[in-house]
Amino acid sequence: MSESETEGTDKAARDPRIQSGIPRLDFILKGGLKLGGIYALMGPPGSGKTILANQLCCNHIQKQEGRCVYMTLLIESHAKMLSHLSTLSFFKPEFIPERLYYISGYQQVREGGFSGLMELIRRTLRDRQATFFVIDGMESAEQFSTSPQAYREFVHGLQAFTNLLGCTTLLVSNVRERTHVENAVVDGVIELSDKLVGPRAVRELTVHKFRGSDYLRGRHEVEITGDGLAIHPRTEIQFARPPEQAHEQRIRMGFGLKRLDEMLDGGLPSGSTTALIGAPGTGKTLLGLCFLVEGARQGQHGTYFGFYEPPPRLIEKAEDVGLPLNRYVKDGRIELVWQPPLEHFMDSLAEQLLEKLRAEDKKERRRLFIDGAEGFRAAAVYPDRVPRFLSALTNQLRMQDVTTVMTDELELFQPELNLPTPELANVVESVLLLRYVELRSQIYRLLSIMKMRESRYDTSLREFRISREGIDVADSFESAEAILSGHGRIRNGGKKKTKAEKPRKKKPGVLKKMLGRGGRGGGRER
Amino acid sequence: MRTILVVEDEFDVQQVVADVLRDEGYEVAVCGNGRDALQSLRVHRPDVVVMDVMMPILSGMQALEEMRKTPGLDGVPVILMSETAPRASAPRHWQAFLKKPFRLEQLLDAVARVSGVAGRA
Repeated sequence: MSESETEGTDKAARDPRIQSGIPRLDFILKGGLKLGGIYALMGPPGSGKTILANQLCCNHIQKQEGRCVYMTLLIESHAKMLSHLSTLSFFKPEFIPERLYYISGYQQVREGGFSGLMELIRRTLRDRQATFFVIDGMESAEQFSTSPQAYREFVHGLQAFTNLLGCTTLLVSNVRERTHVENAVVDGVIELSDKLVGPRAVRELTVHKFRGSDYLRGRHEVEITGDGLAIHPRTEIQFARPPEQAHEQRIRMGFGLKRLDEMLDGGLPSGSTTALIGAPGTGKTLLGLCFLVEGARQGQHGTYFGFYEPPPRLIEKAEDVGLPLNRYVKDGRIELVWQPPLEHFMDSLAEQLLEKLRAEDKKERRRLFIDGAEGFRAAAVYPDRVPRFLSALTNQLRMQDVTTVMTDELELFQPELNLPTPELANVVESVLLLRYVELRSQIYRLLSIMKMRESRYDTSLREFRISREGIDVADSFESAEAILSGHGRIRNGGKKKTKAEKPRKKKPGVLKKMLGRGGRGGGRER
Repeated sequence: MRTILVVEDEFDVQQVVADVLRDEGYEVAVCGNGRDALQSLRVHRPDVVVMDVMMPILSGMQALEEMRKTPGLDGVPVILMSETAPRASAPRHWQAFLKKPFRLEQLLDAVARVSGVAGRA
């Protein structure tokens, strides 16, 4: 009596995965597709299904030394498809035909029905020793089906056979109802979509079902680049449980501006996030660069992540007021990462930033200056995601012990102080406000600390000066008081407005509420 | 030509096992439960029985016990297949056991070995 050759296999061995090799898809699938599983991939024309399926094949061959069969049930020629694929970096023509085998099953299903098609599949997969199998054009197979039951039996039979072979299978089709018979039978359903959101064309990936495993639910943005598909999971669900831990010992991270650092009780707490808000031209960028330069002077690494000014402009601007930014950029202490003004994906930007920071030495105290939140907002396909996104991003930066200063822009002509993202003030530890006042044909800048969680801080308003001699904060509130007690007024304020000109009455903004709480002298917020 | 009786209640598994064995050159008959298998065995004696354990009407284990008590069927080699391993206390009347999900090579190897055929039928 012989014993079983399959007894004793443990659970892990019964649930091996094949990694897709597609950036972040395995993260969404919590490890990849299950070996021997059968999956439906659906989406409208142009959504990237064929690219994804071929990318899976090529990555499977390259990373797992697998063998793939790609069967089309469409009348479209393989030559045309391969010609399109040849422009993508993942595609390796040398894999064909030994490891990547393209065949058409159209004639077989047309003439022999499902039994003829099944016979072709059995023979081909066994002959080619396939470990990954794609059928592209399942809707075509369905058209030859005599009944929904026959189609269901075909998919069941295919599943049983590919499972017996240990061959992971992908059934590619156009968009179908979620309740389609095929989706009920398969181990997982992945949908690619392609739609217009305003003027933007947006591709997204959604996993609707993934048997026997957890996965990241919801829509995730997809980019098709020269390297194939790249998927960007939503930041706010990616870091639900951030793994990194911050340093226990907190230190102060100053700006190198004596009076401002005194107001901040020595500087910003390490690992905290600060919103630096103000209208255009109030000096937010220069103050943020001060923060980086001071860190570099102390030997800390700093990153500028900005959307507005390219590096040469930034360096020129800093050097103009005596900030030695160029020196620290040259010695590598400060890195300037600039996002050109193109269409970005919000989650892709966060990935870029976090991956860059992760690649650096984790033991070092790091400074980050994001200029600014508006860049993320502009990249958001769904603006209502922005508050949760910023919360997740700042939380992740905190966990990586990065001390972050992020600018957010107020409108230039605005009688009230309303943040574009009011929630930002809630997710950051500190808020610094820069603003203008006009007095006798002269514009002055004022700086104040609106909030500083778990820290003492000076709540007085200070004059903030930018000149060729440098950046300076007045050593007392008196100059600010003098400005305000003159005929200081908000730039467009002062004169009475007609009814038509009157701005829409708004609820008091977050900042206004905070201003109401502030007082002269030392403050401490809990 | 070697003959195999595949006894399996799950239609897709029954069909695929039968199909791949036919592809290998075996002559294959199929049944959906233990009772039908016993009836079939009384008429045609196959070289090997490939039988699922959990089936309606009469389980694979019950059918196997019945076979072993029946003269003429007591010597027919049986390959059992199931999602769970049989209890250690169960009388081992089978020649091979395949734990589901198994791979094609495991099925073909077991059938070839039990039927005394090295390689194809």
